[in-house]
Amino acid sequence: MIYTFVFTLAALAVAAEPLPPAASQTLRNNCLACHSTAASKGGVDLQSTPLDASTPASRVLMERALRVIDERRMPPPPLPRPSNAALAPLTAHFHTQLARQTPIGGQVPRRLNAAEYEATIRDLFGLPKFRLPMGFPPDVPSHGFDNLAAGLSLSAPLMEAYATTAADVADAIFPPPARPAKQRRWDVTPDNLVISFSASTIRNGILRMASRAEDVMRSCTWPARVEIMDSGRYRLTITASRFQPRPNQTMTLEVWAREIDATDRSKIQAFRRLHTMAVTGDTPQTFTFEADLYEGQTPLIRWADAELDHTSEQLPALYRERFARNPRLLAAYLNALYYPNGTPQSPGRLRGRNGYDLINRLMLDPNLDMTHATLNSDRTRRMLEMIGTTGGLNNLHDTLANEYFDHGPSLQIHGLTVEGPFAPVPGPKDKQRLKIQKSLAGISASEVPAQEYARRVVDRFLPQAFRRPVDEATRTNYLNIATRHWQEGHTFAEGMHLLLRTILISPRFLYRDTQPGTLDAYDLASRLSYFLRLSPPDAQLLEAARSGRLLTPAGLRAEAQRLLPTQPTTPFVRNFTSQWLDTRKLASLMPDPAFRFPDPDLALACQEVEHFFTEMLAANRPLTDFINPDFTFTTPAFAARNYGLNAPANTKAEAPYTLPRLALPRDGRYGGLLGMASTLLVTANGVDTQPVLRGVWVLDKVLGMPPPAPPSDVPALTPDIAGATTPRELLSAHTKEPRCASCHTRIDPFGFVLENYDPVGRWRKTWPKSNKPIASAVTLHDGTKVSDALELKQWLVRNIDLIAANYGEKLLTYATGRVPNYAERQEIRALVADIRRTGGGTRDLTFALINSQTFRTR
Amino acid sequence: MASSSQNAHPRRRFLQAGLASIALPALEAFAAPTRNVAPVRTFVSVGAYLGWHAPAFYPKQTGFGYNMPPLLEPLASHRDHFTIFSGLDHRAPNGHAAWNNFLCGKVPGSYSLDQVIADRIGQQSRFPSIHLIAGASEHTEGRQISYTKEGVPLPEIERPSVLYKRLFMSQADRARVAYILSSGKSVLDDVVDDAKRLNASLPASDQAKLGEYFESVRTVERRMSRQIETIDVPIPQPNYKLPETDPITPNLMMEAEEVLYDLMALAIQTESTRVITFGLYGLGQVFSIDGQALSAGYHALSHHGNDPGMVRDLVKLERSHMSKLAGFLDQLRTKKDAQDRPLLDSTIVHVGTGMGDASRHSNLNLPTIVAGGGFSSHGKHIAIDRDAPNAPLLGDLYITLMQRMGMEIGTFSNASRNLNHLVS
Repeated sequence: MIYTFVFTLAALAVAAEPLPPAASQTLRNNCLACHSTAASKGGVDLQSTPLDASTPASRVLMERALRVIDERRMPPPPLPRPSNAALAPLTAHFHTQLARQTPIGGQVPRRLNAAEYEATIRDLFGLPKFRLPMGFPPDVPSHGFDNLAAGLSLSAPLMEAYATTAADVADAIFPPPARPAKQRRWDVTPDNLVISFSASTIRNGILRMASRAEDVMRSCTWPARVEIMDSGRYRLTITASRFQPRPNQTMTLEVWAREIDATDRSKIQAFRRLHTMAVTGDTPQTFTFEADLYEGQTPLIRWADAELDHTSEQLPALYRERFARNPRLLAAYLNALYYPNGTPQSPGRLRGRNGYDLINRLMLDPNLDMTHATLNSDRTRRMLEMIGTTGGLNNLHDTLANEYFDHGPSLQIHGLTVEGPFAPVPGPKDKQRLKIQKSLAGISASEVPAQEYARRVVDRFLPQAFRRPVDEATRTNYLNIATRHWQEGHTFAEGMHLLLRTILISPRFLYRDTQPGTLDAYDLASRLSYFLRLSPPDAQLLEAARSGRLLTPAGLRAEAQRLLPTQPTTPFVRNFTSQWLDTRKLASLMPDPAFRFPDPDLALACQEVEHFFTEMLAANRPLTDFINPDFTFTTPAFAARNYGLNAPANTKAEAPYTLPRLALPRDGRYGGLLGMASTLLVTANGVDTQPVLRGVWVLDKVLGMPPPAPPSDVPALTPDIAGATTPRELLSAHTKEPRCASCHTRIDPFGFVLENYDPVGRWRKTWPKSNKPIASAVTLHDGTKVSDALELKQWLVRNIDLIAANYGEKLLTYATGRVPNYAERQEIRALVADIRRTGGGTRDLTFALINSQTFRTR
Repeated sequence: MASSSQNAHPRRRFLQAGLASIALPALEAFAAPTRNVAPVRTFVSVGAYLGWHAPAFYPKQTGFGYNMPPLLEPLASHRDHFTIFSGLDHRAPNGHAAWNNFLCGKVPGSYSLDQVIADRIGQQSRFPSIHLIAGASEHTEGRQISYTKEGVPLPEIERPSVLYKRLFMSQADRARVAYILSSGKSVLDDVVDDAKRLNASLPASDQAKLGEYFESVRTVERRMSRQIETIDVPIPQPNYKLPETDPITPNLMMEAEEVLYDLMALAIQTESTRVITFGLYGLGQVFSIDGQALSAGYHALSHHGNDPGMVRDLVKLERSHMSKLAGFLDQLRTKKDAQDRPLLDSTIVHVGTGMGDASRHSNLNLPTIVAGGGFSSHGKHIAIDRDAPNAPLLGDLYITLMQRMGMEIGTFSNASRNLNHLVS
C-alpha cells in the first residue's frame, strides 16, 4: 500500500496539472487497490496514465472513470462507496480538466458507406435505378450506426468490389461494341402465352381473357418465349375474336411492351402502350402493325375494357346482375361462403378454377339450399358488402373470371407473330447512355474530338465526382489516363471507359472529410448533404460552398433548411430512425401468430416511427413530444387493434404523409418513443417480452446512458427460481447477485415498468401463463418510485433535457461519423439548455446542432 | 476494422455477380490444381420455396419395404440410390419469411450449409459455389438459399445462358476479361500516385487510415497479375445446345429446370464446382401439364386448404419437379468421373425445403431426400419421431453429409450430433 502511494505520487508529479491532494486521497483510498499499474484490474491503470486529460488515452480513461462513479458501478459492491464530499474534489478535477483540454473533433477520413456509395453513383451519373450488386461486402455497424468513420475500413475484397462496380457503370456509359442485329420471326401459339392467376385460360386451343386490373398478373398475357435481343422496329400480327359478347360490344385490345423479367407484381402503368385495336367479330380478325420494341422486352396483351374490372367499385353490381339472372348461382355462392347457421366461411375456398368447380357442383346439387337466395336477404347483403370492400377478394374474382371464360363475354387470342428488327431504334439504354455522355462533358461525344471531350469531362465531371474543385495538375493526370490509352491503340470508348473506372476507385471519390480540423466549405457541404439527403452535394449547395456563404451561420442554416426532408420516406428519416431506435430489426421480426400481428402491420409500425419523427422536425414539436405527444400516425384500424384507440375510420392521410395523423390523449398509454408498436416490438422477441432488453434500450436509445456489455468473467446465472412464477420474480436474481446488481438495478426497472406492453406493444394487465397481475412498480436508479409506464413518462418529461441531449448525441453521431467526446457532449448540453430557455422545438434544436462546432469540425 | 480474411470468401462470390468480371474466379482458380481425396466431391442442394406436399411425399411405411408415395413415383428407378427422411426440421420460427431456415438452420439468414462446405472445400475447384434459381416471378430478395458466414445473401443465376457463359467462357468473353484486367491494372499506379499526393498533406492518424487504401490496391494488383497469367488455361467446352430464348418466364419453370439440371451435370462432370444450390420458386404462374392447364397458380395451389382438387393439381405439379430431378439423377448415374465412377457416387444430392406445410406456413417437419454420395444404406424411409425427447434435428443430418464429404465438423447451427448411425 505504501509502495503504491509513493508510486502514484511520482506519476502524478509529472502531470501538467496534478490532482489536488483531496482528490488524490480519494483515488488512493478507493481505487488504487485494484487499479494500480501492478494490479491493472480489468485493464484499467489509474496510476501510470496521467489524469490531466492531456492525451486521448488519458481522456478516455477519465471519462470512463467519471461514468462508473456516476453510475455507482465503482467501487463495486460490496465495497463501500465514498461520501459525496470525498468524491467531489476528484470528479470536479476530472470535469475541469476534460472540459479544458478535450478538442472538438478528431476523426479520420470517412469512406462512403454502401448506401452513400450507391446513392452517389445514382446521382453522379443520373442512373436512378442503379443498385449495388447482391453480395456487395456490407458495412460493419459501430455504436449502432453503419456510417461511422471508425467502422468503415477498406479491405482488398471491398476494393475489388469497387473496381468491378466501376467497370459495370463504365459499361453502361461506354459499352464494348455491340454485335450486329439479327432478324428473327416468332410465331406464338396460344399455348405459348403466359397464363397467370385467372387472367386467362385455354379453351379449344384458344386463349380466353376475361378481366382487367392494374395488376398485370391478374389481367394480361404475354409470350413466354419472345425476348427482343436488339432494340428496333418490329412488325406484330395478332389474331383475335369475341366470345359471347354483349350486344354490339366492341372489345378494345391493347398491345403493350413489357420487360420480360419484370416482376409479376408489376402494374400496367410501368409499361408502354404500342397499339390499340377494336375487336368486333366473332370469327378471327387479324391486325398488323409496326412498333418499337427494345432489348429485353416482349409484347404484352391486355383487354382494356373488360367488363370484369378487379379494381372497380362496380363489382357488387356485376355479381348482382348475374345473381338476378340465376338464383341458383346466388344460392351456390351463399352455400360456399356461409355455414348453414350463417357464420361466414373463408373465401379461400373459392381460389382458382377450383372455386368455380365448387360453385358448379353446388349449382347442380338437387338439394341446394335456396332459402337465402334472394337479392335482399341478409346473407346476400353481407356477401355483396364483403365483395365491395377490399381485401381477400382475389379468390372471388378468380371464380367470377371462370364464369366469364365459360359464358362470356371473353376476348379470344388465336395467335401472335413478331418479326424484326427492320430498322435499329435506340432503346432506353442507348438513350440513357447518350444522355449521360453529354452530361459528363456538357457536350455530346460526337460533337468534339476525343481529346477535347475527355478534357471537358475532367474539367466538369471530376469536381462533381470529388465533390470539390480539382487543381490543374490533378485534372491533367486523369486526362492522361485516357490519352495514354488511346496512344496505345485503344478506341475512344475504351479510353473513356478506363478514365471513368479510374475516377471511381480514386480515394478522392471513395473518401470524404479528408482535411483535418474545422471543415472547409466543400467538406461541410458534403457532410450536410450526405447527412440530410444521403447524396453528394447538389449544384446549389456547391455554389453556397464556393461563395463562402455556407461558412456563415445564416448560409448554413438556409441550406440546412432547404435540405431537411419533409417527407417520411426519405433516406435520412429512414436510416436515422431505424438505426437510432433499432427499428431496422422490424424487418426480421416474426411475431408469434397468436398475437395476430401480420406482416403489413409490421410495415405500418415502421412507417409510424418515420412519420412521427418527420412531424417532430417539420412542425418543430416541443422536445417533450418525444415522450408525451398528443398525436401519432397510423391507420384507424391499426390504432383500434393495437392501441385501443377509436379514431374515425375515415380519417385520411394528408400530404406529404401517407398515414393519417391521429389525435392521442396526452398522458395516455400510447404515443412517443416509448408508446409505439415499433419500439415495443423491437425490444421484445416476437414471443415474450424481454425486460432486460427493454431496459437496455431505454437507457441507450432514450436516455443516452448505454450500460456496458455484460462482463465476460461473470458465469451464467443459475438463480434460485423456486416459487418464481412471473418474469419479474425470475429476474430478481439479477439484483440479488452483487456483481450483476450494479448494472441491473439501473437496467431492470426500465424494463419492468414497461411490462404492461406485450411483445407487439398492446396493453395487458396480467402475465401470460401465470395469469398473475403485472407488477410494474419500480424504483429508478435515481431513487424515484414510479408505479407504471404512465408515471415513467412523467419522470421522463421532467428530465426532458436528458432525452433531448441524447437525441443530439445520436443525431450528431450519425451526421459526423464519430461518437461525440466530452467537449462535444458539453456543447450539445449547452445547446439543449439554450433551446429550453428560449422555448424552442425539435427543429430549432436540430438546426442548432447543425450549426454547432461539433458538426462543423472533422 | 474488418479483417481481410473475414471477407476473403465474399469477395469471390461478389465477383461472380459482377458483369465485367464474369470469369475472374474461374481464371484465378486455374492456378490451384484440383485434388480429390474425399470420396464424395460434390454437394448439390435443391430447395422448393413452396414446399413439398408432405402427405404425398412421405411413405406410409418405414424402412426398406415402403410403397413409393405418389409424389416420388418419378424417382422410382433410383429407389436404391436415395433415402427419405421424415420428422426432421430446425425448430426454426414459422412463416414465409423464415423459409430460408432451409440450409441456414435455426436462424434464417445465417451461415448456410452450402457455404460452410464451400468455405472448406470450394476453393479446390474453379467456382467455390454456384447458386441457381428457377420459376421466380418476383424479386426474391431476402429469400435466398445461401448466406455467407457474415449473413450476406448470395446472388442466384436465373438464365441458363448466363450460367453457361460463366462456366464455359468463349474466346471473345475471355478476351474482354483479359482486357478489363490488364487495362485496370495499368492505371493502379496512377491511382496510388494520386492517393499519395492526397496523403502528403494529412496528419499521421489520417495516413494510417489511408494505409488501408494502399494495402488494398496492392493486393488487388497482385490478384490481377495472377489472373492475367492464367487467362489462357483451357476451359472444357461441352458444346451444349442452349434454348434460343432463356426460359425465364415463370410458366417455363419446368423447362428451365431441365436445362439447368443439364448444365449442373456438366458443371459436375467438368469438375467446375463442388457446391451447387438450386432454388425452385413460384407465385402466380399456371402450369400446363400433359397439355392441360392446372386449376390455379402455383402459389394458390400451395394454399390448398386440403381441397382435394387443389391437392391433386399441386401433387401433379410437384411430380413434374420430381421427374426433372429424376432426369438429373439419370445423368449423374450415366456420366462418369475421371476414375470411371458414376458421378452420383461422388455427389450428394440433397432435396428439401424450408417450408413443411405451405398451406399453413409451417416450418416444421421438412420433407427431405438425400440421394447419391455412395451411402450403402440407401433405399429406406427413415422416420424420426420429432416429439421424442432429444429427437434429432435436420442439422444433425447436415453434419452427417458434411462428414461424408471429408469435413471434420461436429456442429451446425443448433445441431451438434449426427445421423451416422442411421445412414452410412
